[in-house]
Amino acid sequence: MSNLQFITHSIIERLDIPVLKNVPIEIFYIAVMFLAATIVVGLFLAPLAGFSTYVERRVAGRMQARIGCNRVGPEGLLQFIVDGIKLILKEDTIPQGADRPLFKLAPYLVILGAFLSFVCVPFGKYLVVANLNVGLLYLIAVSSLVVVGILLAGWASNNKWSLLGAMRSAAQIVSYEIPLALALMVPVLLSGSLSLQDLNMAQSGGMRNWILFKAPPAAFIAFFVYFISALAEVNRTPFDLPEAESELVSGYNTEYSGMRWGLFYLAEYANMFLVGAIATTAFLGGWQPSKSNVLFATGALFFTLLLAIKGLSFFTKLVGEMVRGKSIFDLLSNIRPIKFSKWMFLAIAFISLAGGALLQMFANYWLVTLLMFIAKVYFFVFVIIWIRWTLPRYRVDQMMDLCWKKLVPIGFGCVLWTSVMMLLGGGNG
Amino acid sequence: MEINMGPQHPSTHGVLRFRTFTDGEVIRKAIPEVGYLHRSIEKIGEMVDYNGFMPYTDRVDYVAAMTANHGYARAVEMLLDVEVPKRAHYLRVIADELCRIASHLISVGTFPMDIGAVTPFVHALREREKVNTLIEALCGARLTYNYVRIGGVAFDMPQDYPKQVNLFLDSFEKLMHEFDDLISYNKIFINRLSKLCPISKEDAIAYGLVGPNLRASGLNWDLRKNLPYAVYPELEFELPLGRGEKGVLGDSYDRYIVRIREMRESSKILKQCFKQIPEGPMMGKVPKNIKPKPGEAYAAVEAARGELGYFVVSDGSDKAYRVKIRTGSFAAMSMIEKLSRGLMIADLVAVIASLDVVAPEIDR
Amino acid sequence: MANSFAQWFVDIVEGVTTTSKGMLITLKHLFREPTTIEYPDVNVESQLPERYRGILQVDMDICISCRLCETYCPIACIKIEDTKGEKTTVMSKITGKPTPKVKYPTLFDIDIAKCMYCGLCIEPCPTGAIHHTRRFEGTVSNVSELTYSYIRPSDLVLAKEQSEKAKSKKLEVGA
Repeated sequence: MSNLQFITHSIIERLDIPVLKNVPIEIFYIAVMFLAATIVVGLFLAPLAGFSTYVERRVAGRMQARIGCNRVGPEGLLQFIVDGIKLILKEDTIPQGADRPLFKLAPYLVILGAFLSFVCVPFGKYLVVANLNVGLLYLIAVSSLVVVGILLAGWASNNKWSLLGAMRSAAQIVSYEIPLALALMVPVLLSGSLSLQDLNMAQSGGMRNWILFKAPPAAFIAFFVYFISALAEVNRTPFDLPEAESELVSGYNTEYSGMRWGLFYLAEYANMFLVGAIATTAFLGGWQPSKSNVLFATGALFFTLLLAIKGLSFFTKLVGEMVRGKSIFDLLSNIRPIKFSKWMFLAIAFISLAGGALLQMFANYWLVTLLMFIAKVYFFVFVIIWIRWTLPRYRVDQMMDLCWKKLVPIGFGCVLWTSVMMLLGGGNG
Repeated sequence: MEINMGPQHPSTHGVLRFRTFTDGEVIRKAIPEVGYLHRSIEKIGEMVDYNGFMPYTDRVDYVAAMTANHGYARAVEMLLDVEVPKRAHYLRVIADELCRIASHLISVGTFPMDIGAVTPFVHALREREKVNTLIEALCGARLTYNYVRIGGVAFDMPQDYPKQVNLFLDSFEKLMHEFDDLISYNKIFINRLSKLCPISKEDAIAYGLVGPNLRASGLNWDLRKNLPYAVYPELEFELPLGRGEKGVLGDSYDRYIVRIREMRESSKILKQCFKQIPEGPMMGKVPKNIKPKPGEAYAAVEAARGELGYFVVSDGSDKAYRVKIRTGSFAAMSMIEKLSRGLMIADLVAVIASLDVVAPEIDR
Repeated sequence: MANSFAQWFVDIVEGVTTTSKGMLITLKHLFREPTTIEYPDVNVESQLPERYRGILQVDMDICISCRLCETYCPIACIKIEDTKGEKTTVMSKITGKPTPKVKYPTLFDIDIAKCMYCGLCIEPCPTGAIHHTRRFEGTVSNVSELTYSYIRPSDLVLAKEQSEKAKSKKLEVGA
């Protein structure tokens, strides 16, 4: 009995409502699938992508010598929730000559591309939804759904600017799939399998076993080729021509409003997370704990404690003021969290180091691998944000030039080098 | 297909409209349409008296308003034949150069934003806020100054003004080095701009371009050196010319780098001014009700965008008969149609930004 | 051929170096203090200079209703009405000497929505009654509230008194 049937039957037995026994079982299967999908998207994908938007706004602000988003909630943490609610409540406009069925379908295709890719990414030691043995192939195939979605969005908007953006995007994504696949050939060759969980297992045993350092310098260069191609796949600067703000007023998603636009926005940040996830799995050791465990864990604990203490002080003040009868709307915008002193920082650093050392002892525990993975992926998300706010945009023909004349030859070179090294070495690396 | 880059667009500098006829991404023709910001300032010049027109000249180019004030004052002083004291001239030059820095900061900041990098815009505007604060200490307003009066200037500078400005200039030069590292020599930026729409010397003269656009094509013409006014003959500075270092002479990258270098020259001028400024009165001898003899006068200053000229005709009453304003952006706009043939849409945006057009100057 | 091959390498190397220089600058900024002034939480008005040209304020006690500000305003946003009365003196803030006051204002409206804060009305005022404050927040919910009326009830009473005194004096003299 498959998982779905097991879950459905156990739910029906628990509920024990007589009228339900007469309804055909297929409807329940569909209902349970929808419920599962909603839970995954609502409780997992949306907060992950939403938190990335908050990180982007704060980091972008600090890089530009300004504060960033800090009004709603303590240090602005509730901003993405409030944004989500606002988008749901917005009016849903569809332009007059637009092709209505295609217009409505496009955001779903784009988010499907992101959604389906999360299925085979391993988040921790036993934490993978479906350990496909053609994982990488499946990932590359499914992320092409995004092209169809963007083309539909551009065409169905009945807007020449959107059409231009969609055309550019189709050319860009389709072209950059080739260096992407070539760069991902290198880890496949070195680990011998397309499955992502196997890629993780092949990098066990510390940082020197990361695929990044094998077959030098092919894997190192292949990592950068992968990173640049993946940036182009997810339409991030310097490759964000399809949604070039200064030329096309937001390109293919100009005519979208409300939650339809929200889905495009979420898909972009979910894709960013995915880029980071595949980069760590394929090149940087995935969820494998390593000696650098202590460093990552310390850093993560440090920031979490900072945030927690600020949040705690905020809530204590909030409760105190509410007891005195003030309205919650005034409070949410008026209360400023506490400032930190040197001693506070040192105390938090010490506690984080102790916590990191403790985690090192439990290195193989599944929770620790999950934290390792998320820390590495968020480092990549930070690098992607950093690149976005530093570099200007490529023009269409220059972007194609970069892909076909520079990345594809380098990608081929990496694959060739790796194969030669493997032949000479008689095995892996 | 005809695409309308309409008056509301994130990157046309102000409200400008371009009707572009394209073949996919390549433009066949781009026809500019102006007039969306027309406020009939020249007509108002005939209805308000000479002193009262001064705040309106601020609005001719609100990005660098001091130079607009200065030009009008010079034209009316020519009609009245008034002697302006030396200290007032120095203060006018100080205000002019501060405004030149502010205006070039906006141009140099919005240019990378149109190309895609948003961070340099924020840095440039942060520096412009500091310049605004300095000018606020001088005359009381941050955008529309109304500082120059016919016959002199309105206020004297505060006591510690030289110290404030020198502090700003020291930190400004350091930040300009960082700005250069961030964007001016970035490979992607250079690739976008080099060899883009080079304007030859003959074309520049034929279309009437002035200011940094002209100097980027290699022509050594600046009103401050060739037809000097105020105290510019006593100040030492160089004119940065375009050299075609990253492409062709007169391309968009030249127009960008000429502006960055002009800001450095302006800070040199400012430091010299503060060393040489004499004591003296603020205003010359000007009657309270200005009624010049009938006649006409043309006076021009080198504003941030080139020659800003005022042609004032008086008929003996206390209001002007005609005020005509000649701006550098209007000529630059006329050149866009010729330059835009064969470009891609992304390039059209870059060309408009490189010519540094601002809508208030075009439409007045 | 060799030239373009070398150019290919040079392109890549230049791209990498300039990009990393730019990214280093952005990273440096990440660790600096932000320069934001968090406006509503911080009192900005006290940081403005003395000569800041904010919203106008008229000191009706020393206004002698000479109408010079009304004449010199380039945009005609000041409206004054007055009555003639007995001669008194007020202390001018500019010269410090007493100035004669013959006319008493009964209506002094400035439409601050039209006013362009140019300062041309401040210069001709002989007593310094009209001056700029450092206020810049003039938000209201109705545009008609933006026509500030500077006359106080005591001014109206004073004007009425003075005009009656002058009329009675005129009747005495004229008769």
